[in-house]
Amino acid sequence: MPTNRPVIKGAATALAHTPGLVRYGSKPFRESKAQPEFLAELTRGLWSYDKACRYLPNQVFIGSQPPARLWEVEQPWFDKLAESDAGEPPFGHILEERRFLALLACADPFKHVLLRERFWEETSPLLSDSPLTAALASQTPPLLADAQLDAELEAADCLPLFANGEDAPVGVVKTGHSEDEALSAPVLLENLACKVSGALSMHELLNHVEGLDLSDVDLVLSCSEEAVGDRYQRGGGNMAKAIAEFAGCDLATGIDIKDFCAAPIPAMVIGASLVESGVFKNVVVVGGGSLPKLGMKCLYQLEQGIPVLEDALAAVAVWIGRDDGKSPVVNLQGVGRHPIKAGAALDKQFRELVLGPLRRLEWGVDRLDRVVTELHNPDIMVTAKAGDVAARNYKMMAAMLAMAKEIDRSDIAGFARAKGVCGYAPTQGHIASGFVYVPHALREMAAGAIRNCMLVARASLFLGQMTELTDGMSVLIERNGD
Amino acid sequence: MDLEDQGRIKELAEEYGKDGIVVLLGAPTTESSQVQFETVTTGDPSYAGPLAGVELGLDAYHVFEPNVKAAIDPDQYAENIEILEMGLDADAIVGALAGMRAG
Amino acid sequence: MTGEPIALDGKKLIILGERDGVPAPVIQQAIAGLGGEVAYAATQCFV
Repeated sequence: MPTNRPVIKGAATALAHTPGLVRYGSKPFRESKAQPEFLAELTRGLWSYDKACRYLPNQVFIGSQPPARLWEVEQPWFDKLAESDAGEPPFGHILEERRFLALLACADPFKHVLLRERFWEETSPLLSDSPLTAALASQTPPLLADAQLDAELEAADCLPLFANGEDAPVGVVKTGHSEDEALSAPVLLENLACKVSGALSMHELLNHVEGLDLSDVDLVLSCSEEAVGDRYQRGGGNMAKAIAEFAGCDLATGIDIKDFCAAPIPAMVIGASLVESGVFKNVVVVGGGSLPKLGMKCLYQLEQGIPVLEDALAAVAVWIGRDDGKSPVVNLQGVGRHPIKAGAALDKQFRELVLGPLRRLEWGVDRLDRVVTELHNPDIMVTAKAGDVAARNYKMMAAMLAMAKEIDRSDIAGFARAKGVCGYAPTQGHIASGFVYVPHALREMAAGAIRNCMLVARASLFLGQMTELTDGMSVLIERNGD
Repeated sequence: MDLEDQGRIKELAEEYGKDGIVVLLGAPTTESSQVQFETVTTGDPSYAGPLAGVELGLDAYHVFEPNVKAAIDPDQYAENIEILEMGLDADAIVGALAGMRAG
Repeated sequence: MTGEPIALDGKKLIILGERDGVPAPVIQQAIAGLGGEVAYAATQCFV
């Protein structure tokens, strides 16, 4: 009998390789303001689209390689590129920079992004030839002749757009309001980059998942990291609706869900709850890419002479709908939450987020096939002297479970390989949270490799300086019919 | 170490003097513990922050170190720190800082 | 190093915690009552 039980009908990823935007990541932008010569050094450290496509973590991100491959290839991976890209990817494509920059203008209804005429002429055929981008680029954005663009670039508060290391800008982002920092060119660029990458992941979802029609989507929840707003309401929103509109979901509305890097899990829980309650039928949870995180650890990479690895905007889209008898189920009884009194320490967080739902469900750890926490790419974190985040999470989770007598102490060392996943995600925290793994989890469940998967996300609320607390949430996904 | 933190530490060191201050660290890895220890003793090893080339020589300890542990109420330690110690490479952190003090 | 307890009484304390290690509030709670005064406490997040 059909019910409102929420299931995950599909998931997709999108990766936009944007080396020319790395200079506008928070760290490189601050660094280049302090020392202008830094930009030349940064540019030398960037690598090509071809190399990005042959980089193992990126191939896992788009589903061309299984996550288990990461255990087999010794770290670091940046010096062990594949011979070629892996062909048609199962979850989503890696978009080349020129197309992404052109889409920024297509996504900008207020015409703050202006493109060089010649650049558009070269790029628009690439956009219209691709089923991924054709619909997004149906209208010609504002174009400027070379001399006009040069004149616009004279303004102190604009940002030039560069493609693939070329010296001549291909366009410009102008400020949205001369007295409003919330509408400055850097903020508009950040928000547009999120909007475009988020919409790309939704189109990947359409192209890769059978049975989803744009007009079926009635709610989009954005769990992205941006803040859309103006001087009277920074962070007012609503990125979700902007993405839905750009993606062509004309019958949808949208809401933003905020919880620092943990936001995707509350968004999935809220989306699934709204499906179960019957309020909405088809909810898409989307996380667009985070421009400020580009080049976040670039100083370490430049110092060590390795490529600047945070050079791509990552996005994920997950479709939650009503039970179809086959898609994996979102088990709302298996939601882990992090109460205030639990405190900020990692072991306490995992106690609430992992052990909490298991005890409520009366499950032993052996019944849990996969638990996924923050999958930050260790190539990036280890070179930045921050250690392997995923490995550390699993060790702490296992230590907590051993202290709670749920596993044997001798199982701590092997816990990550037994139940976990090696890190591979770009360091855009909401993407690296368990969210990035959803398409792989669906595939592994369909193949019978796992029966269930718990997604665990954590948030450093203290960064916003309103509380010293952290937050987190977890959710359990199970194969249908088990 | 974060540049904002370095600035605050420098100010406090100037205000209270090196003997009036104790620094307690909670870093999760050997490398990050070493960087923080070095920053507040011999100066910022990245030469990027306000403590670049500034030898504050502050007393600094990781909370996993035996003499910090000895000062903390055992019940408090068991409740709040013991599992963290077990889940992190505490011995390596303690060893690395001891090595740095020995020069 | 010996296990001789450190003396915090009368000291100004600088606490540098970390999200994935020991966060500053956890350190503060553990040393409460040892006599030092927390002059600065921060928790880092490297992701």
